[in-house]
Amino acid sequence: MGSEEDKMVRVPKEMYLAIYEIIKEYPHYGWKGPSEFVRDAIRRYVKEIKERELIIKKAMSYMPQKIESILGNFMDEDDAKELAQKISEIEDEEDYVAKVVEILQDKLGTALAELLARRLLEEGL
Amino acid sequence: MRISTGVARLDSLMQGGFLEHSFNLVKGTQGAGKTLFAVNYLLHHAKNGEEVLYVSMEESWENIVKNLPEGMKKIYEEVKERVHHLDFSGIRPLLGKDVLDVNLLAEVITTNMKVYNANIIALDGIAPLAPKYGTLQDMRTAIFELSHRIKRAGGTMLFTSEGRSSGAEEYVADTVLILYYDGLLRRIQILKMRGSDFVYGKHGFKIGNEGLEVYPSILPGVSSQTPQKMKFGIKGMEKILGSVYTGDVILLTGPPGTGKTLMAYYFLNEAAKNGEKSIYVSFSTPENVVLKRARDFGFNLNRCKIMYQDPFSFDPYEFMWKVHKELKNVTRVVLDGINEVETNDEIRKAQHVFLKNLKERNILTLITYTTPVIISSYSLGNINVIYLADDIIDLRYAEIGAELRKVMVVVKSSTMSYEKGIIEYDIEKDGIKLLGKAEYLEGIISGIPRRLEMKKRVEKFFK
Repeated sequence: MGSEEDKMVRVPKEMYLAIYEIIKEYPHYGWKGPSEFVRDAIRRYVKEIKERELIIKKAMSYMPQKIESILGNFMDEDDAKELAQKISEIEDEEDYVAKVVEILQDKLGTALAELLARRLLEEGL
Repeated sequence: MRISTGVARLDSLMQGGFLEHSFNLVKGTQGAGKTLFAVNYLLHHAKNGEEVLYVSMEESWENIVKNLPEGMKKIYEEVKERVHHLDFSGIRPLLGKDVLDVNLLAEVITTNMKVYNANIIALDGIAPLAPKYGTLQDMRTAIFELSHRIKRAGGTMLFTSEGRSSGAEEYVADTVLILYYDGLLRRIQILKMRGSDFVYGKHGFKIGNEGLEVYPSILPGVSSQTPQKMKFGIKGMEKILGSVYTGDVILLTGPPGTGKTLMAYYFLNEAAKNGEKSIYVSFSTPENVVLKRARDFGFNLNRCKIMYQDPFSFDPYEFMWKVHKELKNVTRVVLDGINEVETNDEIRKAQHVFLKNLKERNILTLITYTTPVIISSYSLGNINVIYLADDIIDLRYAEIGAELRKVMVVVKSSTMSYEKGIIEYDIEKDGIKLLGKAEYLEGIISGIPRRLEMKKRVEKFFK
């Protein structure tokens, strides 16, 4: 039940109908109605964002060193250092992984840059 | 345009090297020298100021450099600014099988070609790619894709593969070089070269301190010159042997102690007297011993290059190129004791090529061959080069008056006017003395002659 402190949030009708369909389709989740679904979704999403931000923050601290040590065995050491240096200069958490890939792809190509960034991020989890 | 393989004599066998923008395979068993071939290719171009790229799928670059011969390591140190490497073994533990993908590999290589402006690339060991591309057809398509992208990016790539059986890589490659190694000798063969002529067959190949050496199974030809009359170097020998000309091959056979090496010293001394350069190759005696012996007999071998060839580590192609390097302005060559060298088809081929080249160069050659039987048994031995000899002198022993005396017989001469009789000679303190025809004896060749009856001697006198 709602309280006086509760605030209203508007969602488009199509979204509301989609929520309704989901509740009907997956009753085992135990959502009693669209409001409860939305509350649950917001809780989960907020948690995910916080976790993700935490992962990115963590990744920002280890990524340059990891890149330097892995790529130091892969390519010219100076180049590996240069890439690590550029990555350490990324200040903004927003689109951090994309920025890492952008730096790496100049010397590794897109496929290897994406693969490496993804693996390093997974390793930190 | 041709791109050097990094080995000058190999280039000469394939019209100057690899074709520009080509994909070239070096195949061989473990230890055959594939990686060193690849590194040698890169170092050669780096020395010429080009940026080069090494891509390893298995062994680490650090390890490869550590195991280079000292001379190659030194060269690498001088040019390492231009030698770039991508070592997939370094990232495979983290990235696993995902990294063994031809598209990814091609993208990484072409990206780095652009970054470093490197068009000379070596990809060492493609075997790790095989599991991802199960069938021969899949592998062929994958390698074709890789080759296409490298060529389009302007690269001339060398890649290595293990094994001798025919694989997908051979279909795709523009050039296929096979390296052989049996634990003693190395050989290289050009199996295929798209759109270009090359010299067929196996050639000598050696990993030296400063890089790779190839010893082709052929020698550069020269235009033949007019033969000139020459002297053997022993007083009176011309009367026995007939005229000797530049470009002739003289074969001297006989059992031990008949003076073959001494006659070779006379032969070389004649060159020294005329201020000419000569080469003496011994298959049994080291250089310093040869020099001492020659000096003891009073011969001057100052203008003679003395070479010792260990018969047990004899690589015929390497040998002929080693001597060939010294042939400039040389008028005489002695090969002393070729019987020490075991024979096989390859050695027979090399001897043929080598002697034919000496003939073309108008070099007078003396070959000595020690026959195993001291007395009797009229055989020259199993000599491969007999058909190339213009003159054959056989030295033998004969038991005369309770003494083991020496005789010589000319078995073959390039001229008609040679001595058909059997000549007795002796080796004295002051050298070889030709004593004349042993006319009073018959059956000398058997080793146990008999005196001619007086009647026969008179008949012979009136004839």
